[in-house]
Formats: sequence, C-alpha cells, structure tokens
Amino acid sequence: MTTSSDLERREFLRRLAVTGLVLTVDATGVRRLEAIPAFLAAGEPFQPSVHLSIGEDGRVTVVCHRSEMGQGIRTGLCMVVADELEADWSSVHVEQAIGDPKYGSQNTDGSSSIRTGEYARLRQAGAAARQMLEGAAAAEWGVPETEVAAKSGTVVHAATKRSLPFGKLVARARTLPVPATPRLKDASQFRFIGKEMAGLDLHDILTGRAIFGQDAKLPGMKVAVIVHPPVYGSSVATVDSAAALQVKGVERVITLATTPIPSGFQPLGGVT
Amino acid sequence: MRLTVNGTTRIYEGDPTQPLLWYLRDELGLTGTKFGCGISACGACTVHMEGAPIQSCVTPMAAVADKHITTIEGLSANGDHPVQRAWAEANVPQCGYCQSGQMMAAAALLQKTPRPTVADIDTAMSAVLCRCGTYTRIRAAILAASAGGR
Repeated sequence: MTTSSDLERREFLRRLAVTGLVLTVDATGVRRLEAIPAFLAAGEPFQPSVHLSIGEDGRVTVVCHRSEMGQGIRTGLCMVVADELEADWSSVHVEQAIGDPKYGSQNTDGSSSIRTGEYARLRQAGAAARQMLEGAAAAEWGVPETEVAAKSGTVVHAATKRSLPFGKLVARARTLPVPATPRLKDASQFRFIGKEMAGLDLHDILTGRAIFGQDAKLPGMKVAVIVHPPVYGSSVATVDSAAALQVKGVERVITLATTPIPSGFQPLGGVT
Repeated sequence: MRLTVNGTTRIYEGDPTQPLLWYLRDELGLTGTKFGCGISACGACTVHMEGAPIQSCVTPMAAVADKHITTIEGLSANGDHPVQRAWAEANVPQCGYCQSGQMMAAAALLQKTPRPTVADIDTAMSAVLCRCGTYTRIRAAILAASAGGR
C-alpha cells in the first residue's frame, strides 16, 4: 500500500536524485546515474529472476553475485545478461549481491564465475527477460510474437515501424510466465560478449568514489589491527598488551588462534 | 594548526603524530585515498603536498601545517583531469584499489615533467604498486596524457 507520505517522500527523493544527477554529469560524457537510490527506479520492477530487474524508467539492474577482485566480474556478468537481453548498455547498472543461497555458489576463484555454469545461466536469465518483453510488446500491438524483436533497449515491430522502450513494457511483461527454455542468441549476434567494454565502475574508480571493503562504515563499528608473529607458521607464546592498552582509544587486545598451514585457503585464525 | 585540503581551509587540533592518511579518511571522509601498507612501501596513499607526491600513511599531521594537500577527490571537479581522461581512455583500472595513488603520482609527474620519457615514467611510478598488474596501461595512459596536454 502506498501512503501519501510515501508518495511525498518518493517525489522528494526523485527531485533530489535528479538534482544529484545534474551535479554529477561529467565533461567526459560518462554517465552518472548511481546517485539515484535503487528502490526509486525499482518501485515496480520487472524481475524475472534473481539476476536482473528492469525499472519502468528502463533502467536495467544486473546483480553481481560473485566477488570483484580486479578480474572485471562486475562488468563481465552484466555483459552476459545485457547481451541476451538486448539492453542498451548505457542503461545497465550493476548491484552487488549479499551472500544468499538463492544465487547458488558465490565462490569466486579459478575463473569459475563465468566458466562453470554461470555463463549459460546468465544468458538464459537475460534471454528469458527479453522474450517476456517481446511477448509484452506483441500483446500490446496485437501481433504475433515472431514478428517483434528486441533491439538495444526497445522492442521493434519492423512491419509497422513501431517500437516501445523496455520501460514501457515492464508492467505487462511482469504478468507473463517466465519461459523455462528461452531462445538464446546465435553467437554471431553478440554485441557485448567477446568485446572489450569499459568497466562499469570506471568513473567511480577514477574519481575516488568507488567503495571498497575498507571504506565501508557501519554503526558502532570498531577498528582492529592485527600484529602477526614475525615468522610464517609460528604461534604466539605470550602477549604483553600493557603498552598497547595505554594507547588512547584502544579498548581490548585479543590473541587469535594460529592459522593452520597452508594458510592460503583457510580462514584467518580467529577471524571469521 | 591550519592546512588546506582540496581548496578548503581546515583547522586541526588533534594528535600531531597522526598520519595524514587517517585524517583524510576518517575525519574528512575522503576515502578515495587508500591504505595499503602503512610503511611507505606501496604508494596507494599517495596525495599531493604543494603539488608534489607524498605518501600520506607516513606523513604526520605536524608536517602538513600550513600546506596545501590535494587528494584524488580534488584532482579535478568532474573527473576530467588529463590523467583521469587518459586513464578512462586506456581503461586502466582493474580492481582500482591502487589507482588513486597511481593517478596522483602520474599527475605530479606531468606537472613537474610535462613530456616525460618512458624512463622518467618508470622511475616516478615505481613508488606505486599494482597487484592487478596494470603497469603497461598506466605507462601508455601517461604518455597519452603527456601528448594530449600539448
């Protein structure tokens, strides 16, 4: 249920967001829409799977359920979904997933994010959404689905030169069943997959706005500093924390359990 | 003491031994400057003091009294410094963690040496490490920024 105060709040935030947008458009033409809170565009999102949603403003949000470590997965997963979706790349945004079993494995190593299953799964997710948008457009126009085709963020009926942007099709697409075996593109039709694309986080990185783990702040968060024994694999014999506790602001000194060797794939001792 | 950060005059009355890095990050919220090693070994924390690159993790606040400090947030108003433009053009960053330090080091180099040789670049940039290994694109971007700035 939407209350009038909700509407006022939304309108306020919408105006705020538009203001933020104007302020952050840059001279290089790099698009800056991140300032808009996600829930605004996603007020009534079309979300045919856990991997993506499309807002009534046409904004495509792809969920990255793997970890970014410089390999470019936040952009890579978006490329796969957006290609099958036939999205307009400038409308594609990435949202980092929390840890949740609904995404399946979120383990990120050994090139497995794309290679072992996710490539096919994400292509299907994008294709299913595209097919539903095409179905919505066909229903809108009263023409067979075979006569319409998605193209770069719109669905086109070539015979009558009609087209509708994805955003206008969201409401109807939401009501359609999600196809179990969507039609996939032929590789020759790929627009993003296999191409070099600028990273979606590029502008944020270049301006110091990208948020890394160390930049996160939580209410009441405290900071810990780890002092390691000087030799790899050694364990702590004794700890004299007297001097450390004299430092202003230090609350506690905790001794952690030793990490078993080899430590590479083990949780840090005492840190979970 | 007073100092100027990205054009804004600030009054600091805290511990004079606190490293500049933590003043920038924790007190001013300028988290674009990164902590990497804390011992001046990696360059992720590079900022400008009077236009010259310094490693803020080992620079005590006492050393920046009355100085002008510039961080990545203040390098340009809209991310359009020639170095940022060249970085975008060459798609330099991977994870991006070191790139603020890389760009600050590069901007200082070009300020001092507008047309650096490859050797100049390698010498100046050797102070900033990148574990993703973006060095070749960094070098190309600096050369592009150098040429484009003329």
